[in-house]
Amino acid sequence: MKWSTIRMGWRNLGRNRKRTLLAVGAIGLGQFTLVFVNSLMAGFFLDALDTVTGPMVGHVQIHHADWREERAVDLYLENLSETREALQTLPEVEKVSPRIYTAVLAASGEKSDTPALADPGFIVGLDMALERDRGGLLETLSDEQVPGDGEVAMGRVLANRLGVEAGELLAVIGQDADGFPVSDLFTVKAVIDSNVELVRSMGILMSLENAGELLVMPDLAHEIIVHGADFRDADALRAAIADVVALDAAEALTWREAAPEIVRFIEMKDWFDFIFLAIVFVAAAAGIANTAMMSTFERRHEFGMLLAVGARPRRIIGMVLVESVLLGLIGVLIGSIAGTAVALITSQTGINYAALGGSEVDAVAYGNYSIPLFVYPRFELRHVVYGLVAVTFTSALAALWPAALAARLEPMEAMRT
Amino acid sequence: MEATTNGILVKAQAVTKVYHTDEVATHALRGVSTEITAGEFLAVVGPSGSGKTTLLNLIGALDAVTEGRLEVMGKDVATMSKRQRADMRLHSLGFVFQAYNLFPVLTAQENVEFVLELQGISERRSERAREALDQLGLLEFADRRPTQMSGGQQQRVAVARAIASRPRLVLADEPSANLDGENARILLDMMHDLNVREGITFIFSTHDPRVIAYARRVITLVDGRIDTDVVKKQDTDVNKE
Repeated sequence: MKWSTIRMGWRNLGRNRKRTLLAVGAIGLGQFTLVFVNSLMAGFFLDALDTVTGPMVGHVQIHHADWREERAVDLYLENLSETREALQTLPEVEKVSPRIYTAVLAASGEKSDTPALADPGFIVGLDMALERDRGGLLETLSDEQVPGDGEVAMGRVLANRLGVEAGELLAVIGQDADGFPVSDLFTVKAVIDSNVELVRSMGILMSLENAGELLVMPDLAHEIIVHGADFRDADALRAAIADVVALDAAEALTWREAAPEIVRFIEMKDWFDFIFLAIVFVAAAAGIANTAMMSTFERRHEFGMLLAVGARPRRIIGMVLVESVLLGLIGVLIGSIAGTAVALITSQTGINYAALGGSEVDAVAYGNYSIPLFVYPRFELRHVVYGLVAVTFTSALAALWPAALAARLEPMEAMRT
Repeated sequence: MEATTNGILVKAQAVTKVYHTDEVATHALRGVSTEITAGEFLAVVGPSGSGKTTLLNLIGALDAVTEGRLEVMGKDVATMSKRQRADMRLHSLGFVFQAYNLFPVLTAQENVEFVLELQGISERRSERAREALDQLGLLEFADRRPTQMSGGQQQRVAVARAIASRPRLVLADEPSANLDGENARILLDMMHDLNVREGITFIFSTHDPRVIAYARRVITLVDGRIDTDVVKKQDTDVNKE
């Protein structure tokens, strides 16, 4: 490519500034939208994945081989302490959260003589200290609200249904690991909102020790939730876990296998990205093709003169292509700067996605999860690169036809126009 | 490309050009025969529609003859491919068009350099462009764009562009049509000077008496045919036919 071709292409952009500005504006708007909206969606989906893989599903989950089918209280993992210790020695592992689960009937301890007020509940026995870390089920609790021995935290919906408030007694009736009926009274230490729908609607959260005593499950657990550094490395994490001898009879699943609906959710996002990219493609192509056609038509005389003095058609094709690609690149540059700036600023401030739509709802339910609607966009350089490549390619493609028309002009015929 | 050994640059034998528009055939040239030798300063004159521009376009390999034979620098233009014709225009011919026809986004110097670049000249391109502008008295306008120059100055840049690579033949279509008397005189003086000093052959299509006065040979076309072909000798006109 000759420097003079680039110089002429660049200067030609200034000949009809209004048209150039309009085309640049359209391309820039497309790129801005691509970068910003994809950052917004990335933030939303990553938050959603954090929600899902955070407290409940984990990056890898380990349980009895039949647990997923039956969810029976006697399908537990043995040698919990030993297993936990072995897992914590793995370099890929960041957090090991054992859980005990069982369905119970719950009622207000003050009114437990009134069976009609009992409601289904779901006991989650967990490591209190661990669950208070970021991403844990008790992340939002203050020090004073953390349940101690004989205390529980209850999901808001269940507490409301039972008419139980913090400080009151809660009675639970269930079945232990050997199939015998069990019951006990617990003090409600806190009523919690959780983005895990099961916890919010039915959850009775207590210490692993209290749950073990209630269900007669010493050094046992139904599930061990394992977190690595990044949910995207779940396969490597499971491979490392598979070497742990104590898990021979258990099943280890990545979050993709444990929550296939989330995989569909991600695929939906990939389609969303693709559709957006396609829209930018089409908008850029239409804008550039129109500009290239108009400018080629207006300059027939000039192209005729070029051909008359002996310029090769490929030089004319080069001039039209360079002009279009420069137009596209300027638009992409402006759109990228604006999109990146807005994405980075809002990644700090956050955006109330629901409020934008006039809704007061702060989360949306998806499967068993409540996905937060206060979104922190995540800027990803790849969105800029996608737009850059797409618009450059589209610019050249859209200009090919007008360039070919210009190159096929007969010099004298073109100069007469 | 070279002229034939006897110095003939253009040899036309019964050249006919017919344009077809819808179902109407227009005879622009009807059996034109002539020879033009190196170093001539020749004007093709005649009323509008007489075939002046058509003849120039055919000589400039911008169009193809319908019948007859036209040799330019020893080559039969009809047998040349589109690319060969473009090469001939680029390397052996210079063009000066009626409406200046400079590239509006390039300065005067860049306009001249651009054609040199098309010709593949890389050595001293900038200096050569400036020399050509200097010959036409335009060095001080080298960095100006066409819109910043007068019509006369623009036409002189067009001449500088045409002669920068020292072509054997320059074809000028109504070069003075848009110029006032003084600018036309300056332009013609300069082209005449290039013809005399550098031996560049000029062929004009014109009906401007100022150009005719400078020409040493005048071919008059009427209805596509050569009516008269006059070679001026000293102060005496000689009619060849």
